[in-house]
Amino acid sequence: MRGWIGKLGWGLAGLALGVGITVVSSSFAGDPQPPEDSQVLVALGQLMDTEHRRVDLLLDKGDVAGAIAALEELRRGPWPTRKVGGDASIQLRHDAYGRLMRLRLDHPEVDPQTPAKLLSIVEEGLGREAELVPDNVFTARLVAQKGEVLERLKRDDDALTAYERALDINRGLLDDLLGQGSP
Amino acid sequence: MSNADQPKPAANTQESALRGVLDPAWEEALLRGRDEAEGEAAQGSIEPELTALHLLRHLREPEALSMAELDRGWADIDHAIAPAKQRFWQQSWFRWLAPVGAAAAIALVVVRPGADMGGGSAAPAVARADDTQKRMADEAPLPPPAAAAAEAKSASVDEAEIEEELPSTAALLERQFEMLEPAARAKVGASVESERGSMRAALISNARGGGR
Repeated sequence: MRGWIGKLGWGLAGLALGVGITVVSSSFAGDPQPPEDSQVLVALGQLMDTEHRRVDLLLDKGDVAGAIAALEELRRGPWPTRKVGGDASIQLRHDAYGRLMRLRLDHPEVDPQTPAKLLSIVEEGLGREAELVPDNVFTARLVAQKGEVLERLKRDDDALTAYERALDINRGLLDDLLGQGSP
Repeated sequence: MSNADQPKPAANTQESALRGVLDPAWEEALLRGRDEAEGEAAQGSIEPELTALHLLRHLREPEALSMAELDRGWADIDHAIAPAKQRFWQQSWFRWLAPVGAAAAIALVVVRPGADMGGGSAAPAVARADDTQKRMADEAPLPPPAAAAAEAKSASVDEAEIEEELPSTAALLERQFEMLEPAARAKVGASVESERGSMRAALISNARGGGR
């Protein structure tokens, strides 16, 4: 009898531990992270505005190579961490990498890179924070581009997983958008 | 009997005693004597003496075992001392991991749907999202992505079909990005502006504090 009580006690302790771990980990994953240093996010926002306009002008002139070079320069950073720049800084990073990758995927003849190199660029852009930031369209686009690169590497299963992840994010965002529009 | 002869009988006695212990004739005589004296009724009456005799013989001249006999002996010992084989659910680690795993699974089922409760039940949300996908699919001549992709994965469609499917999904995702991008940029821009406002307020506050 005492043995059964002991086993039940250990079982309940394990149950409590499992619930605790799951709740804590899921709460960490979803928490928005404000910037620790406002100046960093403001400076990064201004830099991104300027660079987007510069790339727009270069593309208007038909200078794809110049646009890719400008975004490559931007890619070299430095980029703030999520703690310092908050979630918004990670979204801005994903935006910059996403624009660079779009140009590289659409214009493979300009400054050609191997699919393996492209994959390393995408993964560098996503970083560990991709799983931590709240769902957003910039992260979704970069995840989808990862799927495109994986497809070029003939890793169809991994590509499908990436596409499904991106579609899941966008489905939630579209749902929010339609929810805001409806009365 | 001379003095010179005196130690010799003692030595002979000792020698015969030593030889007596090791001499098989001693044992044969013992067995024969028992049989003659009492027959079947005396069965087992000299067993202690015989055991002691065997022990003394072994102490004097230990019997060596062959390698095969040694191996057989060790195998018997290994078999005798091997712990009882336990099934995986009887192992101690399983008693720990099973409740933890079960709790994690329960928490995932119970906690995660709770996050969606603010927007109503899960089913309408899924239905709305599916409608959105359908509408977008109608706008662009592209197949429905997630369902088609999952089907392609599970039904092991041929490679050519998968290759045809993936670019379409990528194109659909790019269209979704174009649709969602303005709102996302506005949201990020608002975050930056909010931080700019906080920074400006802090700078003004510092400037006023410095002027005093």
